[in-house]
Amino acid sequence: MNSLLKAKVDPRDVAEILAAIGIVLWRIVTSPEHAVWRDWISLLAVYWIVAVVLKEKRALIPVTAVFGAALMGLYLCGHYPHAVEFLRTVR
Amino acid sequence: MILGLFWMIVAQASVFLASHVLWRKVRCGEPVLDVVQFLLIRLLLISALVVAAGVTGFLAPLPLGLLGAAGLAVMLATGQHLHVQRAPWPPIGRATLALLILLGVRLLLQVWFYAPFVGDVHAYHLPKVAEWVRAGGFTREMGLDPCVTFPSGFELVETWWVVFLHHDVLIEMAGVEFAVLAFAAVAALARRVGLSPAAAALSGGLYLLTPLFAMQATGCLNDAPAAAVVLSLFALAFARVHPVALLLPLALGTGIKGTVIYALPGIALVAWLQRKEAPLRPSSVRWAFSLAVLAAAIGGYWYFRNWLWFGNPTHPMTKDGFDLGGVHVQAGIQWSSLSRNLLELLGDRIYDHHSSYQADCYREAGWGLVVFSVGMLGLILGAREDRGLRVLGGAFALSLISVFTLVSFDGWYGRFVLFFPAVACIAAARLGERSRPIAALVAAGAVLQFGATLVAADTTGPRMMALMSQPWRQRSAEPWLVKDALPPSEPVAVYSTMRSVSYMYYRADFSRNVVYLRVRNAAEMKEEMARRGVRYVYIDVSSPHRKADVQAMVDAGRLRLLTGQLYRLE
Repeated sequence: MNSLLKAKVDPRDVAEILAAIGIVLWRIVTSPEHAVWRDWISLLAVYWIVAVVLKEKRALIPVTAVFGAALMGLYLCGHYPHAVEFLRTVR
Repeated sequence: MILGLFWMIVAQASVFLASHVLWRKVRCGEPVLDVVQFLLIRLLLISALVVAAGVTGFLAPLPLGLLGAAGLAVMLATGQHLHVQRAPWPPIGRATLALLILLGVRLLLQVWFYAPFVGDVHAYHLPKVAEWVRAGGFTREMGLDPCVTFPSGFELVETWWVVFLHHDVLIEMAGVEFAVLAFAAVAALARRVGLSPAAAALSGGLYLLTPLFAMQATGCLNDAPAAAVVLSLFALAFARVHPVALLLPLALGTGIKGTVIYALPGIALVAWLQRKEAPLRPSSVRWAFSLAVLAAAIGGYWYFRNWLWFGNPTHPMTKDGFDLGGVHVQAGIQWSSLSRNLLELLGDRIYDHHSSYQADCYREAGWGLVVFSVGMLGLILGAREDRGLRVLGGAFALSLISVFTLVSFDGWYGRFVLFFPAVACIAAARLGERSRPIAALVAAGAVLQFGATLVAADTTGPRMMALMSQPWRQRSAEPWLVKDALPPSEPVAVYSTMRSVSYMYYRADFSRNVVYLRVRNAAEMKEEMARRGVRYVYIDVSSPHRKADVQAMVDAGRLRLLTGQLYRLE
């Protein structure tokens, strides 16, 4: 705790986190029909916060892979029914 | 056909060697960037030859072939070929090499098995090419569509690939030329931000797999070529080449599509942010300037022609834009367009969840799975960690904003920012280079995109299969519309008021005469057809009055509906 308090906070990091939180809040207010967990812009903003918090830490890359897989899943849910349906007709 | 093929090979060899001669005079000395410059010079020479032949009425295999043979003889006699050396193959790794080979083979198969299939292409991009090839030169007649007078720089390269064979079986090669340019430009950008040769090649490969680019590359639309030129400009500006070297792609791009100009603010930003980097000078600034002047003449040709014909260089665009059957094409800045375009793209179209991938990207972004996921995450991370990616990300974003401020909100605006996914592809390759799990995700995404972009969904699957299964000599979209109702040797008239989807009537070998009718009603149509000896007519009129007019003629037994919109005078 003591070390955390003593750690120097980079104002640029704070600005980035505030900007990312602002984006998430903006999406919640302006697009309530999109839940944060399936809203691409919000997910990228959340990842931005994670990238700032975990900068220079080894966990960042595995977390990035998890986010990447989740975004792929989100995309596939929307697009691939159409692609599969179309390709099925191509015979 | 065999003689045409011979002249085509001679002309291609001549253009290749001439491009090499000029390239040696203007190259900047950075390997991947040199490839970009070579490809741009090649496209410039092709365009210049077609414009010169079109204006003088020598747009035919023999004159072009003889000119090519003469040029080739001079260059061989002066030993220019001795300077052509095999470039060392960069170490790009087996997996990336396999991806690139697969992509190359697929592109060539699509060139062979596709025939033009997109509505816009049949309406206004290609009827002019057909008229030029049939007439052996540029013609005033280019079809009835209001968009036929748009800049036609891409159509020049398409003409190059059809004029020798008098057949459009290789017309998609024009798109492949620009796909290679886009690949080289993306790889050059990736190398500049510090990626390895393998990751740079992967960046280019991923960009070619971007669904909208993949669909357009062999779809005969000019948005992918415009994006390729924008990426070339980014690559040259980012490497801080001499400003005169930027003029060639800028002028060439302006002649392809006006939206290239809309993306300039981002390119200017890159040039400014890179001003402290070591500059790259062309071997000869004077030669680079000469090529820029030639490019300006070729790119500006369409605007000059429109000014001569209509008194307006951007005809049919005016300061108020122009309307096209319910779609308004915007002129000038509109901030409301920016917010609507941006929010719709990032909030909805980016998911590509309305349909399968199409070349005209109706209500979709077409950026694909890799850009949507690892690409954008990589861009966020890369922008935080690396100045180069930060500069590129900011500049690409500025160009996107600039384009969105200048284009209307409609179903198709996404294709005007087709350059943007490139920076996310670079970021994805960069991440993949750092982590095996992420590399596996990128690979999985690439495989899925490869599968999903095998066939364009602009029309139905059975129609595409019917198109591809035709013998190559006859392969065309004509049977979709007319089935067997139109005898091959019969000319056909076109009577339409807005869109006239007419290219397929020319047939793959441009053997049919298509007569465009500028008439006010069905009676005038009949009179004009009789005067010009045409019995068959394709009718696509929009006003109820004109439709009723046509129906009255059908009811009276003077006109017979054969199929779809094809009629025969009785």
